[in-house]
Amino acid sequence: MSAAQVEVVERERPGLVTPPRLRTLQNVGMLCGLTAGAWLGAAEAPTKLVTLGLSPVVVSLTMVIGVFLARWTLPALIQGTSYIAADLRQAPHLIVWAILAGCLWAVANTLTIFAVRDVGLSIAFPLWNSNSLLGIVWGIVFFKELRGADWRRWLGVLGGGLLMFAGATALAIASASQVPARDAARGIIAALAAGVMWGTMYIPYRKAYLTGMSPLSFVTFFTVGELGMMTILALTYSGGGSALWTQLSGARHVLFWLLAGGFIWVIGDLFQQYAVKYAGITRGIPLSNTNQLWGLLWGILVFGELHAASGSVLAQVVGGSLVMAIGAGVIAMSSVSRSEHASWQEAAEREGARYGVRSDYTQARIAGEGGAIGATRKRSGLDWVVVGVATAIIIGFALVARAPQISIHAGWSMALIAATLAMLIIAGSALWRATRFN
Amino acid sequence: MMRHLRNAASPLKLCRPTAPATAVTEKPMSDVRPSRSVVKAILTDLQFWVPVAVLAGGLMVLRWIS
Repeated sequence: MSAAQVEVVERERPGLVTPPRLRTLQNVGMLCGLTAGAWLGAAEAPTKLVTLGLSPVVVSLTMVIGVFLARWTLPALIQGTSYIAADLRQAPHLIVWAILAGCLWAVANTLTIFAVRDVGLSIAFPLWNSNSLLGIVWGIVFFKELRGADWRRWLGVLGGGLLMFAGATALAIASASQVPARDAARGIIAALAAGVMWGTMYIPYRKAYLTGMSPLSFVTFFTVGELGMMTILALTYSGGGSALWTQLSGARHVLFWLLAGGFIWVIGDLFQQYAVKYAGITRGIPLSNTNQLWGLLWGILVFGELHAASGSVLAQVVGGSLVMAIGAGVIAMSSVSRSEHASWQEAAEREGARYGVRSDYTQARIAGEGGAIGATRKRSGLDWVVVGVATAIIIGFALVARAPQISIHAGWSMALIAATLAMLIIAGSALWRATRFN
Repeated sequence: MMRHLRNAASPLKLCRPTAPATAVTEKPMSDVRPSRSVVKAILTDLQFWVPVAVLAGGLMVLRWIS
């Protein structure tokens, strides 16, 4: 779309986002993507405390239970269930998409655990991290992302995505675990399948956010799909309810750490969803994939991984990290132009027309505003019950948890926690000021 | 003559239009409620079937490797 065409569209549709507002939303989206990377990386830390030996489905199910608790607690605290219900009533068809996306996530997460078991993290991680490249493809094909963008932005997004993929590969090889490859072909296929599933999961994400739904509303039903699918998988592959219960009760001393991992992961995922909403799949997902850098920082600085590594391995780590950071920087500089944003709005209007969503709701939400949905953010008794029950469950698991028998560097741990919290505060306050979490 | 002009457009523009042009402008597409049901809209949406197909494929891979 040329500048002249944009001007024509602007005259016909005064609801288009103004350039200063567009810049603000873009910056917030990019910031959310980077913050998502920090929190998704930090989510790996509690899982490192767990002694291996649990079955992949038990690990995945327990993490998903933690995810479920967080996905209901945080939206209830921030928006209130009445606001979420009013938001969902604007586009009820998106409940189907949310549950579908949750099912995709649950199967993909289970596949990654099998992949790590069979080929090790070094091979599996870059393979499933290819999800961002597939996400870029879906963003271009289905949602008009990069349409109307100049060649520099195309080059920035595609080149940055490839750089990050190359950096991730180098990092993963360098941080190779000592897990022997049990069945290479099966592990590689599992990792690739997980990448395809996560990459495709961004279709429902983008569909919801083009329509205008708040990520805090979308995730409440997303997690129903996650927990439902994961429960079915766990019952199927554990040999039934009693066998699953035996495994869970046998692992009760470590379940808290997996729940905590799931809870932290949700905070990262929420920022990732806001990144998709305001920066698009093509920018938001590659930026949030910097989680691998953060995971590596936790591994090296806090858990003492690679302390006996050779010089060449350390060089690979530094080189891979730099390449990944450069890739993220290139993508962050490839901001959305006005003409590309006009194409996004065309895609949004198509969605609204197809599913009968009010156009003023879609226009307001794509601009990060509230829109009239007939509800305000307030906490009711139901919200406090949700928060209270979730907190009690987490405290219950914490009471039976055992302190991990693993040495950590407390100083670095505090430094990384402080950095991660600082990013949460900065991105959260910027998001609140710009969009009120819409 | 008056009756003719009021009921149909005059190619010769013998008189002013009887109503402002905006009154006959179509509403934007986004304001039009779809006549199809939501279920039908979902089932005929390619963006629905791509994730469904990928989910089915992922379940088959999981069954194979586990």
